[in-house]
Amino acid sequence: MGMEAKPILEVENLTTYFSVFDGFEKKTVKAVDGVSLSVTSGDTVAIIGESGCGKSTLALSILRVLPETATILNGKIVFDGEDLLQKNRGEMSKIRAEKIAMILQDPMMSLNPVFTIGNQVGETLYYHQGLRNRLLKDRIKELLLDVKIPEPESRMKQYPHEMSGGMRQRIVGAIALSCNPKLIMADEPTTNLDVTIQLQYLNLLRDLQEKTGVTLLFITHDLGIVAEMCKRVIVMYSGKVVERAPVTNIYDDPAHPYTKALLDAAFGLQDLSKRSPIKGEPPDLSNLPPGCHYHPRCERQLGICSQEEPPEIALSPDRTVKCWLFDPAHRKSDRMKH
Amino acid sequence: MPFKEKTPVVQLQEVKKYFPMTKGIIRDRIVGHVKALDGVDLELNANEVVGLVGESGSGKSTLAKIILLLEKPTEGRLVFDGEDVSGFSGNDLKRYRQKIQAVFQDPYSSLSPRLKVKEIIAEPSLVTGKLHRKEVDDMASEYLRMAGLPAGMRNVYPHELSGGQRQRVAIGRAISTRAAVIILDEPTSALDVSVRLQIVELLMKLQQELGLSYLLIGHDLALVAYMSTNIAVMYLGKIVEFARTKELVQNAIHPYTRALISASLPSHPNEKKERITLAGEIANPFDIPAGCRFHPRCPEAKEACYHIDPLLKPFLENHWVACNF
Amino acid sequence: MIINIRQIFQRYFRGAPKIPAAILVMLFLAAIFANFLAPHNPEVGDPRERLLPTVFEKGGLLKYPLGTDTMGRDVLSRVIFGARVSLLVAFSAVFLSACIGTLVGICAGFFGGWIDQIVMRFTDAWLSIPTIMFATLLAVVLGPSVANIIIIMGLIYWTRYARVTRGEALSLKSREFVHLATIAGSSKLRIIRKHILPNVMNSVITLASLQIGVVIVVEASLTFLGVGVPPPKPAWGLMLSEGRAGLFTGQWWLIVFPGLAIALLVMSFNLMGDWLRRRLDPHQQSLL
Repeated sequence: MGMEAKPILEVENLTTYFSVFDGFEKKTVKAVDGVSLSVTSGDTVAIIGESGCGKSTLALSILRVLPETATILNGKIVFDGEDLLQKNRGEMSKIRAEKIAMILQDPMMSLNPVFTIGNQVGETLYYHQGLRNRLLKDRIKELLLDVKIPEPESRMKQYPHEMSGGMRQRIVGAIALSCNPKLIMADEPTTNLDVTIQLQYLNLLRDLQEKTGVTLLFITHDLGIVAEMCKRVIVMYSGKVVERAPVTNIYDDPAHPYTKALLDAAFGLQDLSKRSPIKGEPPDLSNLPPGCHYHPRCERQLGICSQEEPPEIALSPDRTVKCWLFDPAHRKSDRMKH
Repeated sequence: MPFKEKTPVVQLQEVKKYFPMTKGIIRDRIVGHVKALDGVDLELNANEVVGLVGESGSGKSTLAKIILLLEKPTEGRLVFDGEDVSGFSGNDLKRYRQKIQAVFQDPYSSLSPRLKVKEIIAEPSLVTGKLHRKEVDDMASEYLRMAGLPAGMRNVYPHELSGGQRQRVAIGRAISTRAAVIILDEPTSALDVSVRLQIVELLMKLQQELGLSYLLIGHDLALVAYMSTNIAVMYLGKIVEFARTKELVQNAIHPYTRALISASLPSHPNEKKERITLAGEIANPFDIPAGCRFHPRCPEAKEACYHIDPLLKPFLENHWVACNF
Repeated sequence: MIINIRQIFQRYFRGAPKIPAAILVMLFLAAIFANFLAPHNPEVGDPRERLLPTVFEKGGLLKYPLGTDTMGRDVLSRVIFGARVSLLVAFSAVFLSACIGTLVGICAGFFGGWIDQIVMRFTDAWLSIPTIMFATLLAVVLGPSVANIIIIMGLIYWTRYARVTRGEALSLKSREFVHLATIAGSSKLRIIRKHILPNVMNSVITLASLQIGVVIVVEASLTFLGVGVPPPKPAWGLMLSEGRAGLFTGQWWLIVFPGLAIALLVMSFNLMGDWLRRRLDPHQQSLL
C-alpha cells in the first residue's frame, strides 16, 4: 500500500440496527455491528459476505439512504475528510449527487420506465450542474459513449424497456458517472447479467477507473468478481468484519475459517474435484449465537469461541482477522471442539 | 428396473418451438415468430446428468418447458422411454407427469404459500390417488429426511423457512414421485453461496442413490460442470456443442463455447486468462441472423457462415459441434 | 397463560386502530344482544308518548333516553335493533358479492383467453350500470324485503371482487408453484381450489372489509328511498326518512342518532379495513 495514497473512505465503528416485528415481539436486528474499514483513493475493494451479513446495509448507511426502520446508532463515516453522519439533508444530497455513486443489482429497478434514457442520464447534470440545451445534450452523449453505448443520439430517446439488460446496466453506470464521483459503490452489479455481458461490464468499469481514477467498492458474494477485479478484500459475517487483507492473501492463505470455507465451496472451471460444503445456515440476525457468531458452523472451534467474541487481531500491517485461533494466548492450548 | 443399454430416457428430435408475434387491434396479424427453439436434438440417458448452459435467449428455459410438456413442440418430437409423448393429453399426460418432475430456480415462489410443507411434498402423490391422506405425515417425514431436513418441519408453512430449506422441500417433493427424470432449472442460483454447495451435494447424493437422471440448466458453467456428466451449450435456440464435461471444458471447439469459458471469472487473482471478447449484444430470438446464427458475433466467421446454418454433427468421439469450420 | 393470550392478540391485531375496533365490538354486541339491551320494543310504540325529546331536554323522560319517534317508538331501541339489521344486510350482501365476484374473477384470470375476454367485457358492462337506479329497479320488481335487498346488493357489487381476483389469479398462474402443481399432474380445478383460491383470500377479505361501509350506506340510502328494508322493521335508513321532517320542526333526535350510528359504523369499518389492508400486504417486511 503506497504511502502517498490517502484513504478516501474511513468507517469507524459503525453500528446500524433495524427494528423488526417478528410475529410476537419487537426485535432488534444488528445489521452492522461495530464495523470499521478504510478504502484508499483509487483502489478497488470488495466487501464480501452472504445475504444478511450487513454489506448492503453498510453501503446504504454510508449513503444514508436507510429505510425508516433502521437507525445508525453510532460511529463515524469519514469521506474525503468529512464526517458524513454530521451532514444535513441538503449536504448529503449534494454528496450523493457529486461525490459518491451507487450501482445496484437490477437495472430495471434503478431506471424509471416512463422516462427516456437521455432524461435519466441528464437528471443530475440538469439539477446539480445546471447544464442546459446543447451543453446538456453533448455531455449526455459523451457519457453514453464512455459506457460504450453506440449511437447515443438515438439511444437517448429510447426507454429502458427497449434495451437489453447489459445495456441498461451500462446506462446505470453512465448515471453514476455523470457527476464525476470519487467513489462508486457497486452492489452485485452483474448478478443479473449474462456471463459474456458480465465480462464486458467489468472491463468497462476497469477502463473507467483507469481513465478517471475513481475508487471502486464492490459489494458481492461472487468470489469470481473479487479475483477478477479487486485488490483488497473485506470479509463480513453477520454484521461484523471477520477478515481484511490484500486479495492474494485471501486466496492463497485465508485466515478466518469462514473465508476459507467460502473459498473451498466456490466452483471453478479449473478444478472440478469434489468440494465440501459449509454446514449450517446463515445466522438469524435477531437471534445470534453467543461468542463468535460463526462458531456453530466452524470446523475449528475452540472452547472460548462459544463464550466470548474474538478481538480483531492484526496479522500484518495490512491484514486483520477476528478469530480466536490467532490470539497468541489461545493458540496452543484448548481442546478443539467439534 | 431392467438396465437399458444406453437407450436414452428422454430424447428431443429436431424440436422447434415458435411463438407467434401478433400485431393489430381487431384481427391479430402474425408478423413473425419468436424462434425460442429452432431444431434441437438432445438425449438424456438413465443415471446421467446432462448440463445445459446458455445465456438469455438461448432457449434453455423453453427446452425445460417442452420436456415437462408445459408447452407442446411446434415441430419435432419428444420421446420418453421410446414413446412419442409430444402430443400427449388427458390420461396419457397424467401418466407421463408421474415420470418426470422439476425443481425450479426461485425457492420463494416454488412452494405454495398457504400449504403446509407436508401437503406440498405429498401433493404429486395425492393427485394420482396413490397416497392416502392418512399416509401423508409418514411419507412427508421420510422425504424430508432424505432431503436433509428434520421430520418436524412437515407442519410448518413455507414462509417460516429459509431459501435453502425451501429448496430442499422442493427437492423432497420431486423425488417423492419416484420419477426417474428430474429437470433442474437453475436450482441454486437464488441461494446464498454457502448454501449452494449443500444443495448441490444433496442433489448429487440423491442422483447416485436413486439412479436419477437430471437435466441441469444453468448459466454458471463451473457449477454445471461440477455436477454434469455431459454438457450441451445452447445459443439462440440451437445446441452448438455437446460433449463430456471434461472434454468440453478442456477442448471446446465452437467459438461460442470458447468465449463462454473464457468469460467465466477466475478462481484466483493471479490466474491469467486469455479473454475472447464477443462483439455486440446477444441477438433476439425474434430476429435470428441468416446462415449461422452466431456469425455476427463470431471472431472466426468465414464467408460460408453468412449463408449456411450448420447442423450439430459429431466431430470427435462423443463430441458434437455445430460449426462451419 | 395470560401472557400467551396477549401475545396472540399482539400477533394478529398488531397496530389495529383501537377506537374503531372498540366501536365495532360495541355495535356487534348491540346487534347480537339487542333483545337484552334495548329497553323497548322497536317496532311497536305507544302513540300517546310520541315525539318525546331526549332525556337531557325539557319534557324528556328517562324511560326514553333518546326520545321517541312519530309512532311513539323508542329511538334508542330502534337504533340498537337497527344495528342488527344493518350488520346482517351488510355482511350477507358482502358475502354474496364476494362469492360471485371471486368465482368469476378466478375463472377469468386463470383460464384466460376468450373466457377472460368475455367475462371481463361483461363485468365492464355490469359496472357501467348506475347503482342506485339499478337497485331501485330491482327492488321495485322483486318487492322490498330484507332478503331481496341482500340479493340486490350482492348482484350489484360483485364486479369489484372480480377485477381484483382476476388480477391476482393472473399473476398467481405464472408462479412456479402452479407450474409445479401442473407438473405433478394436478387438474385445473384442483389447482384453483388448493393454490389459487387460498392465495387470493387476503385480497378478497381486505376488499370485503372496505366494501362493508359502502354497502351499509347504500342500504341506508335505498331504505331511505323506500325500496330497501320495509317498515316497520327498525332500519337506520327508515329512521332517517321518517324523521326527515323533524329537522325543520326541531325534533333533531329523530335523525341525529341513526345518522350518527351509520357514520360511526361506516367509519369504523373503513379504518379497520384500511388497517387490514396494510396488515395483509405481502410486501410488509415486519415493519413496526
